[in-house]
Amino acid sequence: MDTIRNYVESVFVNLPRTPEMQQLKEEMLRNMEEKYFELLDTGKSDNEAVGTVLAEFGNIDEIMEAYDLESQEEQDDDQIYFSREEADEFMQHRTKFAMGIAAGVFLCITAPAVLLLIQGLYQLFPAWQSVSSDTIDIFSVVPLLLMIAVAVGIFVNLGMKEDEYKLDYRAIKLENATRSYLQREKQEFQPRFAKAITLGVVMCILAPAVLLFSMLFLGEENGLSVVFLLSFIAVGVFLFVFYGILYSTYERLLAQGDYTPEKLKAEKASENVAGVVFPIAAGIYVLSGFLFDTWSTAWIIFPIVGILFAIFTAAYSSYLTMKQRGKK
Amino acid sequence: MVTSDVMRGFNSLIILSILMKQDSYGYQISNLIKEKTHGAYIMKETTLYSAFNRLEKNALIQSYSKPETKGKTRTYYKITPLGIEAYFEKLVEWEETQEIIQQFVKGEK
Repeated sequence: MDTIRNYVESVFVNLPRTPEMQQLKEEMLRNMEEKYFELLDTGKSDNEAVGTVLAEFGNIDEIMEAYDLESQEEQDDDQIYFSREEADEFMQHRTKFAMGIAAGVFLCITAPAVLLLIQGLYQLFPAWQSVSSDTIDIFSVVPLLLMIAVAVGIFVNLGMKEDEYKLDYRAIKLENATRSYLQREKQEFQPRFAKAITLGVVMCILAPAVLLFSMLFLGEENGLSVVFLLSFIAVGVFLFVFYGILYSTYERLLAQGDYTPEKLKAEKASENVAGVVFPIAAGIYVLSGFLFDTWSTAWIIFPIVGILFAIFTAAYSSYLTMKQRGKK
Repeated sequence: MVTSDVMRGFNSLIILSILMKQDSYGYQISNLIKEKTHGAYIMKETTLYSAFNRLEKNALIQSYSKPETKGKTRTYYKITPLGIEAYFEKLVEWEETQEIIQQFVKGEK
């Protein structure tokens, strides 16, 4: 009899827990119970009786259709469903997003390099000395400001487009076909990702070497060596940002890594906690400063709260993951 | 053994015909069907209850609970005047269906 009860419970588990469904379940269970005992009375073995009763139960989809129900899984509000088209569109948007953010960061790093380049060239070519240094200052600062303005424009624009997706902290859910196709794409992307990150690291290590090398030739006073340093770093960081965002997009779509439902839930919770805990810490610091003149010592509260907060986040995240594993 | 696909259109007719004679409840109805057909057609539990739901939604039957032994109650179904009307309509429909199919398969056995 337990087998029958467990079976019916497991079938109803995805249905909404309304009184109507509860009643239906009880009713069906009772019918099955009666049938089971009647079968035993006719001399059937326990196994045969259970088998017959379960075989005559039918398909729960019929009930869902008749009652216009959606399974509980689809109503889950910490997950959001993406069709193949939506997933492709999201991927396209993220590719643009990655390119834009990486280019913006590149501009921000190279902006001071351009300033130094113009001033360095000014020092290098004596022919330009007829121009006053004030004019050169203006001509070197304007490109810097322009580049930063373009970068900020890109950041704001892309940030607003990103908000349109309203993912909040929900994990993305895909159909199996879409999932396996994205999984394949991610596998193809992986070696390119590894190469790009390696190249980025190499660029960043080379950067100070180039700086030192150019100082040998140009002398310590010349700003041009810093231009070389910044250019190498800019290329390296561009690679990190661009490929990093693309990689995280695959993880986002496939709900892997930092984007599993549990991780996202933990992130949401820790953001809420941070919104309360850190202002309180700041309040205590200010208050105790005014009341007890502890300005020079009470700052210790910030690292303490920070560490406790990090512990809480890590613990809560692993708790949710363990709970999920337990369920499976 | 008849497939449930073929029977789909006739489940409500069968249930209505049983309720024409007397009020009844789920298990009794499925038992009656099994007995009358000598096990040739067994209505699945879910088929039965989704049919009840549809019939009740269309006001062809009405459910009420009736206390039974040991303080438990059971859901009984009763055919409504609208349901009786629908039963006779479906009966005509069934006769027409038979005639149509007969035109094609007569004497083919």
